[in-house]
Amino acid sequence: MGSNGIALLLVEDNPDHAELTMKALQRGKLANRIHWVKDGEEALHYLFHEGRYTNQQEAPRPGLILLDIRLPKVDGLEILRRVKGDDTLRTIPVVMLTTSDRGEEVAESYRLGANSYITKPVRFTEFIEKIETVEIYWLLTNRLPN
Amino acid sequence: MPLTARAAIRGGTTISRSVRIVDSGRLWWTLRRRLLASHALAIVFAAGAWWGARTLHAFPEWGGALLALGIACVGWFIPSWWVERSITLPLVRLRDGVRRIGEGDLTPSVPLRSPDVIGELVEAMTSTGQRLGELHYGLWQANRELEQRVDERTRELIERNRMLESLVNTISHDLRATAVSMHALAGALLEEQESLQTAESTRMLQRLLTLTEHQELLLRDLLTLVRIGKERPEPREVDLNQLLREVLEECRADAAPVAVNLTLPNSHPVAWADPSRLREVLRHLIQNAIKFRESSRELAIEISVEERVGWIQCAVRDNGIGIDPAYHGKIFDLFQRLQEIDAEGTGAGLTIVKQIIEQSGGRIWIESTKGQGTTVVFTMPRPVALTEHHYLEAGR
Repeated sequence: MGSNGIALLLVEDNPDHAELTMKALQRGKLANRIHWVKDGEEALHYLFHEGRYTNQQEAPRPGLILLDIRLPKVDGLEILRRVKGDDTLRTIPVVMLTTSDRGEEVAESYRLGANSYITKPVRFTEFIEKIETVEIYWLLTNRLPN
Repeated sequence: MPLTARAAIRGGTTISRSVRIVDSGRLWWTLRRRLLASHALAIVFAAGAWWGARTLHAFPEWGGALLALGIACVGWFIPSWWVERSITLPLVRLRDGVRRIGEGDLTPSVPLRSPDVIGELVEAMTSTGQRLGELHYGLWQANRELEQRVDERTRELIERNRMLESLVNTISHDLRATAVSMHALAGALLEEQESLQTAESTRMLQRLLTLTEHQELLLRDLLTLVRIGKERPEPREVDLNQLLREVLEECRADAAPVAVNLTLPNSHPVAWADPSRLREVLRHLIQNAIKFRESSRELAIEISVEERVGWIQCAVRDNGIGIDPAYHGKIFDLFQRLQEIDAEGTGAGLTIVKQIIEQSGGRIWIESTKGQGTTVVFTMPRPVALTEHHYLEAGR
């Protein structure tokens, strides 16, 4: 991490939403190294260097995690719990992405240590704006411990 | 509540019996008899004293008369004291007993032994208290039964509410997710129509179509789930082999290019189920087997049926991609997909299957290893007549 580009881990099962998010991120031209995983299991493998990702070079530590809540196999809240419970991963900011704005899910996310929470709006321009805002704040404005 | 009713009737009879005793005037006659006896006793005493004094000449004429009078007085006092006691004691007892009942103490009191109608009255009041106790106990028991039933219903309702809530949550989530995608695709098509390549716009339009179909499937599954929860199943005897053949024909037509090797059970199992729902279960399971086939080998589906005493155990085995045991518990959850969104399924299929099976009194579970195929096993009741026959056969 650092000058050679910031790795961003996008955990999203919906391919359309992933495409949309990546489009928004690329428009900001900030995250030139986005890694997209399609389900919770793969996300855990990436973060903890298991399964396909045993080689640490292939799975660099991300500077930001965009995490969908509803995911196949292992859900987003469980991944959040694992990340925030791990001494080395805990400092990575995690932004939750979801289509529902149920109070319990928001509360549970923050309780588990999420850094931000985005409800995906139906209007896609709004969605792109939100993603860009998150990207600018968490990757540029906000200073992270390294 | 038959127990309470019986206790009430019994309690009522005893109360009316004690009222009858007082009403009939028998109480008055008892008192009168005792008073007459005490008067007679006094006269006998007085006459005896008079006669004794006269024969012995121990006293002068008036002295003898005085003595006789004195003895008559004493002789009258003792029986009347006894009469008074025989009436007041039970009455006091009775008063205390009634007071105790009034205060809610329904334990039976020690009965007072008295041979006449007063004894009967006390006994009647005592047993009234006892009956009231029984009545009270019956009511308490009925109340407890009722409370238990209310608890049960409440739990059912809570469970049902929880299910509906999760149904609404997941369905709204999925509908909204689809809406986000559709909006984005349509927006991109509109905004970038000048710069888009034909191939790219075709792909996007294709995707839009898929998403529309997916939304329709979501609504269909939602309606199915609501219908299953609302309508009662209508079970009857179902020839499983025939049903299986029909379902497979339907599925074959849908999955035309896939060769399916089907192994049917050798016997002629008969199940006790709602045929249209059982059809839905089998269709879902076979469609799943077709959908999650392993592309490197020819699909083989084997359906086996075991007939047990009270139920039938049916297993649908395929040689498809299999499911990691870690997710066996999750796959029956609503709209849980282990794969991404497509036009073929919403993730509600196994939830619907599980609902149907459990509603008709069966169980369902998965046996599978990743990469080696999946077996879905479910049970369902057999027709009662057949079960009885089976028991008779076993007893012979």
